[in-house]
Amino acid sequence: MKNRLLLFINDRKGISEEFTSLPALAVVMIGFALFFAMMAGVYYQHNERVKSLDKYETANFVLEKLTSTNGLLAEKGIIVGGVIDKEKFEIDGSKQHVIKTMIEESGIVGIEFGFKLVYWEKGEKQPPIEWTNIPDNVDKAAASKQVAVRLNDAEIVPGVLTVIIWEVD
Amino acid sequence: MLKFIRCDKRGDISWLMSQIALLIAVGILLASISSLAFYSDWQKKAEINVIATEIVKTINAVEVKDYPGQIKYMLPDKNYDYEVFLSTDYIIVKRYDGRISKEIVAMKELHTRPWINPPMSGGKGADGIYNYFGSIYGIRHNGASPDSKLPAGVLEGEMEIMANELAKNPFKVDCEKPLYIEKIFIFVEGGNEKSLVIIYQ
Repeated sequence: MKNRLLLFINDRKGISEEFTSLPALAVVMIGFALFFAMMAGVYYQHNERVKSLDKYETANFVLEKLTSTNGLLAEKGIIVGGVIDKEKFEIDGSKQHVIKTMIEESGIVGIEFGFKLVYWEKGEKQPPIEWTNIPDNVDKAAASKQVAVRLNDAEIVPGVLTVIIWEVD
Repeated sequence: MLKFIRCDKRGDISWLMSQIALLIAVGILLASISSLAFYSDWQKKAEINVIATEIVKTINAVEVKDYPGQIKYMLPDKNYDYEVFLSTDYIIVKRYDGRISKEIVAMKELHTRPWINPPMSGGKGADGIYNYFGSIYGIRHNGASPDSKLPAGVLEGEMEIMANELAKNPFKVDCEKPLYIEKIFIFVEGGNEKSLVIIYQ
């Protein structure tokens, strides 16, 4: 082993020279590759974060616009005086055209949306009422707000209204 | 020279050539990595993306207001020149100091239809629009109140004209002047009042 090391140090032909610079270069290149991969990862993550933030902001905007006093739900009589009428909110599968017309008249362009309403009756959470147009296989974003839900003339209960948005193809 | 290279039995030439080749390879690799990381235009694009996002947020903030109101929006003063264009569906911000491609473009989608640069007469904002409709359909049909409703279909027609015009020629914003973003209500025959966001300078 000692002889071998001496041979390595005393090499005057320049043959062992290459074998010392190669590992050094490899280490430098691995370092740069790792640095670049890390930077690319951070940039990708940042981009994804910005995109998802954009989506949630859009969902929140749609929710605020549609539930405002001059928004779509107020125009259609679904929200009266800031209270959601449960009977009017429920649009079953046979009334797809009603949902389509409402989306067209909403003034929201470039995205589609659907609503989901959860409410509590006698302290118990009831099954959610969902608009039937919400697809399963698309990328969606949602925003929610607390609302009052009118069940009948005598009963107004707390609830949560969620708007779900997705891109139009 | 060639003979000298061929007759080298000590490996000097081989060593020299491989070292040069390695240096060139490392140089190219480092240059490509650093150009991608530090000299590309993504930072510049991110800067104008922020400008476009701010405009969209301001328009959305006015859109969700429950009452008529106006915002005077000043575009940010930057140490580079940029241009802002408003189209029917998009806010477009451009700058022309890119390294790879001169023109850098950032686009943000608007999810509503504001009325951009509407026709106005005898004033600005809501009053200007009521005056404009009043000059065409008479003061009793200018859309300013429930007693003076605008004829049905007029507003839709005006919006259609605006959409076609802006699709061809987006509205170029003068970055030195303030941008007025205003929520107005127009009363239309056969329906409730229509809330609209108008943008003008």
